[in-house]
Amino acid sequence: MAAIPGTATVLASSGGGGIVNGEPVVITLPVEGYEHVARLVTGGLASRLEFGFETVDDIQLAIELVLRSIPAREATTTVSFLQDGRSLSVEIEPVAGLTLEQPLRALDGGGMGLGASLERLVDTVELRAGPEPVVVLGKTLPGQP
Amino acid sequence: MNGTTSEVDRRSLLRAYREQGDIGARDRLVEDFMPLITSLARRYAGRGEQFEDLRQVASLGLVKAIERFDLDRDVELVTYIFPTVVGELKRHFRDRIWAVSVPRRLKELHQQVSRLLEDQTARLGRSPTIAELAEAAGVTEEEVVEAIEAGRAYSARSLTSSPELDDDSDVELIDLLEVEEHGYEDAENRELLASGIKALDERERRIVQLRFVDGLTQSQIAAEVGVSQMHVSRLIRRALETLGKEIQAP
Repeated sequence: MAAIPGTATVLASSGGGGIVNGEPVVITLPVEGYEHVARLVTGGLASRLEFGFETVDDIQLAIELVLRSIPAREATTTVSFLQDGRSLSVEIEPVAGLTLEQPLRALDGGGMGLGASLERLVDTVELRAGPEPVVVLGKTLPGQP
Repeated sequence: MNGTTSEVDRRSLLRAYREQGDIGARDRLVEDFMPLITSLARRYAGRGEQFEDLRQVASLGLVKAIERFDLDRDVELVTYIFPTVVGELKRHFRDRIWAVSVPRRLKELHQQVSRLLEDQTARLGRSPTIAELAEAAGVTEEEVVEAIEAGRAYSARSLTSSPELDDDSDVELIDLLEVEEHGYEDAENRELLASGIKALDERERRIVQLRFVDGLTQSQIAAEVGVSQMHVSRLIRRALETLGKEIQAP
């Protein structure tokens, strides 16, 4: 779905009644300056999985961290949410130029890596290389395999 | 201060407290400066924060100043206390004022959700879900998410930005924080005023360290640092916003 520059679009394939298992919710938004839109959508979706407040906040923060780390600040990016009733998977693409090793100087002053920081927030972190590299974040409900 | 206690008397009281542990002397010193504290708190009240809350903040600044003042220095006690208290008020406002205009309904819901979050975390022994918070607040889950997001607008802006501090006021924050310094505006005091901001940055760094390096949860950090979970969340985000400026394209 093409995004109008400077706007965020939301594509919910579940008919507005919340996400149905296996059906994604997709938002396309400018990399810069629309973190709050991502947070709102993430909060709404993550809450449906009955994650606790802290977990919802961590997922929001992880997505925000990725968005703020994408080198191409003028670009747009797509955030896709997929849940299966016990876990939430978030794909952010494209993230060209981003590496999980890039240091977050402002966070610890010592160069802690983006990947290590994200792993404090979600269960799984993956960077899929390719022409359109993708970051995949995963979070599972407590007590689920 | 009420003007009835001389500088010599104040120093004697402080010395008695420091050297002999005379709590009564310290309390008399606190009492002596309470009119100043009340005056400063009143000056900032009515702009989104309650007078009593501000008086408590200012009192905390007073106690800090009494603890830290160097008796060997040739500086009047009041010239140290005044900027320390103002610094504490600055820090409080920087932490708590809404950065953008947020409807009163959302502000109130945010404060309610923040309280419920603390209560339910303690009661349940885990972080409550959004649904549980919504039920307790008597609103929808979407409204809770919206109220939490509105809380992100709480502070997180520079001291020279031009926010709407309340629904019907539009004041430069720096104006709000400026006070009449009555001759104390020397380099030394300006440095002391700035120390409040430095302290805040240190706390942010500590919180970020606890979350990302030590791996503590928000509620654990809240307990460790002595602030609310919602505030921990805000401080982490503030650090993250700084991070956004630090990232360099390869």
